Amino acid sequence: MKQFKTVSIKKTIQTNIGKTKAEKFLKGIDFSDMAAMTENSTASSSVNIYQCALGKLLDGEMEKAINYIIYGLDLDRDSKLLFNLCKNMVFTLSKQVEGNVTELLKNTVNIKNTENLDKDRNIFRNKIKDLEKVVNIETAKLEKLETELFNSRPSFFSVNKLFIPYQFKKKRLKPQIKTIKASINTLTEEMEGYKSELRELEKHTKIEEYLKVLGLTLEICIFPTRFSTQV
Amino acid sequence: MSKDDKDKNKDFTVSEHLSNDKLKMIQDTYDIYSDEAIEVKRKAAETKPVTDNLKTPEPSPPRKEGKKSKFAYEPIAETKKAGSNKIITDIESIENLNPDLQKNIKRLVNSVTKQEVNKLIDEIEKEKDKFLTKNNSILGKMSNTEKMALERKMAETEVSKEVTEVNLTAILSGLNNLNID
Repeated sequence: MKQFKTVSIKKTIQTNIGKTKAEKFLKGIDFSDMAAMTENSTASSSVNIYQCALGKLLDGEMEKAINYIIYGLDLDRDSKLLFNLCKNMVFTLSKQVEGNVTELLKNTVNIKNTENLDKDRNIFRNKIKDLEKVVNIETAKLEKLETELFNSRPSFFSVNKLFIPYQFKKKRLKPQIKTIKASINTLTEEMEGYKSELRELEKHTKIEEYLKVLGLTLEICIFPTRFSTQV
Repeated sequence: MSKDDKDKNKDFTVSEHLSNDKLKMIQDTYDIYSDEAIEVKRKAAETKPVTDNLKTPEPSPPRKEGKKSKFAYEPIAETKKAGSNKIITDIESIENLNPDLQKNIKRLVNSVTKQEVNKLIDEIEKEKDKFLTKNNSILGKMSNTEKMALERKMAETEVSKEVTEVNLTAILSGLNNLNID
């Protein structure tokens, strides 16, 4: 009788999306979590893995939850709970991605289309770096001027610091200080704008990545024969 | 060796081409181990070993009686029988979950989350038949055999509505608290 080997989800994902990209989804489970879950529990291992995956989702650790789903389904391909969780995630994330594309184009100023989001992400990162440099330079200039003004204030004990020269200096430096402060505020606002768009963009690309991996997992569970030659 | 003996020992792995000295050496070694009185007690529940076709050699008589060998098998005292707790292999409702998890999910189920979850459940129900079967779906284009396999798999893996609600609540919470490093 010909023996059919179960297609390994882990190996298939590595083959399809590359070892580097797949690494973070194939770390397996945290055995301390499992130990905490199985204490005083009489559930089977796939039920415990399912519960751990739910716990990770509630904590916002979606990547870890995906690790648990992949590990659990590799262990027990017939687990209804894990399969349904995977299916529900695929559905929800695909709806999120559809909605996100519209929101992303509506809420961001600098993203014109979603064709090359990686390129946009790199552009934003570089812009933020440049703005940070400029803000640091302007802040150093501002501190220097403020220190100069503060140090030239006349006091009862100082002989060199006279009132009239101080007033002239103050008249000269105050507008400069005001201009630099305004410039720093503008640059900081622009930087915050880019940072928030970058956050939206990164969230969108992360969700797309998760959707790809979960979709592949679902496909392997339903149609293992599509991948039997790869493993 | 006579022909009868040869037939009798046909199923042995001992080569017929070994010299008599070597055969005697093997036989003596065998005697030592059989003397050490290794007994395997099989429990009633285990399957009967298939020995119909095997012809075991006749054990040689014990050398000394009464001598207890250090290799003698002593049955291990019966361990405490496992409790008769049933192993949970399925979850039908939120009550079957781990208590901490139950508490966290119940805490999340407020009016807003419930509304979103119900909206998603309606969408899932509406698109149940075409979400995975449409051409640009995550499963790609499917042949008729694959469509049948998909239907079968969906039928086999149905869960209760409450489990779907729990799943969607956790997923929405995950999306709202997504960590972006």
